[in-house]
Amino acid sequence: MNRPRSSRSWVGACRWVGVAAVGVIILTPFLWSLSTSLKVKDDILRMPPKLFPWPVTLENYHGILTAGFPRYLVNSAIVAVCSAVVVVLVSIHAGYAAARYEFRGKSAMLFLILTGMAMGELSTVLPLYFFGSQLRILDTYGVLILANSAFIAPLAIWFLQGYFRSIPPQMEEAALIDGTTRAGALYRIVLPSALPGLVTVSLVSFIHSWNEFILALVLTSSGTMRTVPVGIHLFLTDYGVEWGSITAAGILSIVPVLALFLLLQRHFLRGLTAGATTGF
Amino acid sequence: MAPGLLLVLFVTLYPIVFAVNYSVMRTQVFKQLAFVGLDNYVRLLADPRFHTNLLNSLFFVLVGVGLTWTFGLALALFLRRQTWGNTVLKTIVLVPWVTNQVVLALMWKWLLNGDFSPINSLLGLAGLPGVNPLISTVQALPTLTFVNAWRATGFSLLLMLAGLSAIPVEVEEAADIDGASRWKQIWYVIIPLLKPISLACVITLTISFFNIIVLPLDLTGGGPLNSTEVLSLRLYREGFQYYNIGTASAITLVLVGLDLLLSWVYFRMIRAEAYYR
Repeated sequence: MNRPRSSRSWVGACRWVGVAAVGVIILTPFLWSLSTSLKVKDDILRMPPKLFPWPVTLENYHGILTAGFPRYLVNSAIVAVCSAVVVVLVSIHAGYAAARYEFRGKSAMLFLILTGMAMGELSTVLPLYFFGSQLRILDTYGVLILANSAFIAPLAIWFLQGYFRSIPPQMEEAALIDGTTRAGALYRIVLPSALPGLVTVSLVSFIHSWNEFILALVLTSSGTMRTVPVGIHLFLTDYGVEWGSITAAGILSIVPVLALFLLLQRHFLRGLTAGATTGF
Repeated sequence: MAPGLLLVLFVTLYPIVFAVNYSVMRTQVFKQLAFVGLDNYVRLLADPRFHTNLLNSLFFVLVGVGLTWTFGLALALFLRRQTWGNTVLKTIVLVPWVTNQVVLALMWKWLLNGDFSPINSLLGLAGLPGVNPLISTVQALPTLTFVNAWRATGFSLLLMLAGLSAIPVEVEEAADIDGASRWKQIWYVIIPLLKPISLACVITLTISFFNIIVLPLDLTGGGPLNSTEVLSLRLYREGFQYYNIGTASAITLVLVGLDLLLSWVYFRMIRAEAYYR
């Protein structure tokens, strides 16, 4: 791979141009919305469009935050955090059992989990709506948390059982001989070494539930139960011309997920690639 | 264990039984009026709009998955070395993937909106005519497909990077010494070695693209003239706008059938792959 120096620096320059071009293509829609959300009303629909917001204003954000939007943020946060907790608790035990025990019907169970991973969200919406209306739990946090965690559970169980399998069983066996219970071995020995996997599962669950739209749209009806994506969707259909407020809401909705993602990115990527290469 | 299994049953067996049950009934919202056998399916098969839905979905999924995989592989080859710039770009490519689709749809709608689009003002400066692809029956579906590929590229990039990191350096060095050009190395060495992970990537994407709902709903709303109404959007409309639960259940089963068939093929291929090793 030794190429002459001059051609190498030329290649290097090309690479930088390429990197910049790809970055711009990816970010253009985000930057344009960010720019719009910071513009004063008269500038938003100006012809020809101004690329940069000047004068800069926060009035769009102020308008959104004094309307119903904070409530949507709270709803989304409650649903996403609770779903992540439920998914982690459930998939730790199911994943551990699948990784370490042999029992009748295990292959049927694994097949069921794979089927669950193959089911699209859309296929579950009608039945879940019917189920919710029969139990009269529509329009509550409970039904949203149930629906979200049920939808992510197969992936989480599958991922964690793969992860547990990659941890050598000798440590647990030693602890069992020393008189610990199975549960004790799981909580005190396996879980600490599976921490990156647990971070991945909770992050994926959180991001999925935060962004989830169709279940939240169908399973809730009152204005006070709306999650962020549903709120923005209804903004789009109800006030389709107020681009300043809409883009501000969009930008605000990205911030929590992006912050969490950037913060935990390292864990997330490691866990995800481990899951994708061994777990499947 | 048990709660986990219950949750899984809740999104597998229950929806399938539910859909099978309702798809053979004439319904009034959720009330079952009469057993009609395969009537709902027969009516769907004879419905030209359903044919359009199927063709739209096929285009959206096949072209979309192809684009996403190609973008992911190209970027992965490009960003393989761990440098500062590459890490930043990798993070940027992942941003659309962690953003919710309602917001992605609204951003693209605002960007491509004919009158106030910055793209059109730039095109205008260059003396070119403006574009408004979302209101064109010809351009709307390719645009939707591209936007979706743009969204999912982060995912395929991650998988491809993981696949590349598993290829030993010696393999490429050997090809290099044998005098294979960069393109030949990619075509004859790298792509074949990436086959298992590409398969994982392609099947996961196919299933998720078949089931997409928000992006078409908010970006084009299925229009203009149903030219972007994919199968999943039709299902949503039958279920929650027209309340034809029978028809919606029949479409659900078509979708679930496609999903399961693809996963089965995928599973078989992975098995075969493992067998040959």
